[in-house]
Amino acid sequence: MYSQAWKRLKKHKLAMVSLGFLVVLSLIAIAAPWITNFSYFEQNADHALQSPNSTYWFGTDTLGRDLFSRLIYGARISLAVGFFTAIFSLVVGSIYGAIAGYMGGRVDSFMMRVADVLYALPSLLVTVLLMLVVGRGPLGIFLALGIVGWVGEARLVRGQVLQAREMLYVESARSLGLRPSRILFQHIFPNILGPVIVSLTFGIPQNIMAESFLSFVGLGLEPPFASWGTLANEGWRAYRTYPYLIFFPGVVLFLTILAFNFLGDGLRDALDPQMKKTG
Amino acid sequence: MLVFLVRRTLTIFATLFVLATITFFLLRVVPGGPFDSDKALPPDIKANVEAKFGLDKPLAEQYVSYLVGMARFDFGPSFRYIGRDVTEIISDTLPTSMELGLYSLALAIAIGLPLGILSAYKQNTWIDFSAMFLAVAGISLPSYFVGAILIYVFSLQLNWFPPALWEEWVHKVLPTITLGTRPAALIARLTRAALLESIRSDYVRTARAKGLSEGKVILKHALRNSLIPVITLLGPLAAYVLTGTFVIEFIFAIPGMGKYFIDAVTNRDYPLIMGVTMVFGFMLTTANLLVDLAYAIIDPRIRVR
Repeated sequence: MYSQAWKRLKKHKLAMVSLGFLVVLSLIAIAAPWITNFSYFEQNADHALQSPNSTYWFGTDTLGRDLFSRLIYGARISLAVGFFTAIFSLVVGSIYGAIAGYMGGRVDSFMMRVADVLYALPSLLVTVLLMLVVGRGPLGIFLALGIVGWVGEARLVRGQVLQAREMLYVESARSLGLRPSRILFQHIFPNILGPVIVSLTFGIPQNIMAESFLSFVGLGLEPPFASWGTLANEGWRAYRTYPYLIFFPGVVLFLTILAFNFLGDGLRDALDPQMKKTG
Repeated sequence: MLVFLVRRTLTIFATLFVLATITFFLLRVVPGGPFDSDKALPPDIKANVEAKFGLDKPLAEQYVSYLVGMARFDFGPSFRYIGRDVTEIISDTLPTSMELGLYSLALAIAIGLPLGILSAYKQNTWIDFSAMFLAVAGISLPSYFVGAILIYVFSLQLNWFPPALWEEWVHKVLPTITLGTRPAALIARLTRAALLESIRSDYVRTARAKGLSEGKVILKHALRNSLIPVITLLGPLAAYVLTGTFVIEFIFAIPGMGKYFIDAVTNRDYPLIMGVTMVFGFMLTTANLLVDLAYAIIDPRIRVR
């Protein structure tokens, strides 16, 4: 099934270009120290606020730091926050949703009532409050976004498990006397992986965006950590005279989110040919 | 229908109660109190201030009096804006935020719906492809980036609209566009998908077989059914627009509730944080209830559940 899906995905040009872009971006982020000529914290007051030129490709900020280097180091934090938060939400949400969906009955309706209540909370505000408690570093923002984010995944997985539970292959597994945990993880999970992967692909950019919003308004990461959001926040203060300060962080963030969305669309079409027709 | 309504209303109360409790206890475990910042106050003055705001009482007592106050829409005095009640601050700033949110939502529907219909109508043509490309781009644009570009082009270069504040209609154009971009794109995508789905259904085939014109088939028959998923989207969209206001209000220096929330968090103004959070929570849950109601009215199949 998955080799077929891969074949279909390969035909989706935008999705493949996006995948390539994201892979390259991740490699650049990982290899940051070997790529950049400047560190992200190195200040050089004599070179402050230089427009993009051959030494400083994307210019320098008010403290004379190289914007290109700061963006690449920012990619590390932005991508890591987006990726790990989405994984965390997915794992917690899957376990919760799978238990609810598989148990059914009272357990299910109680667990889902709880999830409904949590789902209705204003998540961005709760994230801000959580960050006050756990701190405003990458770990704090990761925890805060993750604690808020798993509920959506739980609802998705629960719906999928609920459907799968009625399938013949599950019934035969059950009649063979397999333990519920084994049925869930070995039989049901591989079959519902498609929608889960798709939602992971859409979850990552959502978290990247949420982090950048928070950092932009000054409620997210604190120095010395720099993400694309904090760069935009710093750029915002001077951008009326030096527009490139907000242009570059904005464009990089935009392209990254765009790539994730195209990839997600492509994956959805590839993993679920039924849905392709409806687009 | 009545059972449905009652159950949903109960969920709202449960949600608000959980939200109130989470907010209260989160703010109590935050390291550092509201009166530790800036210059350290002498200990006895600090004790006096804390006594004035009831911070010296046992936690349980504070919690109960806070819940009781909230039930009467009384969130107590602000820690930071001396002499002002949180309820008063909220009633001053909420209308602005709601105005911004409603304009953006209206703009999003006015742009997104026709774009989605057009796209489905011209499926797989270059119009469709470019409209959908635009929509994905719109979803991917961070609102502060949109705001920065709009201000740079239309305020600083062309001088058509002011770059900040919220007074005359000219002030409201750029913030509304900034906040409305993403919802518009989301609506366009969903409208297209839902419309394409219903175009393939039997009753549309019947309408076509009757010899109705293509425009009539789509607008009168297919569109009506495909509005259901679009209406469900309005719940999450209302949430997005509401919380989105605090980025927009930051960018355009609009004196709305979101801007006060940011200040309140920075200043550790507990009563104000709780007040704003509760109002947001209330509006979100009510929006979801309204959406569910609309949903149940439009689609009788839902009510059975």
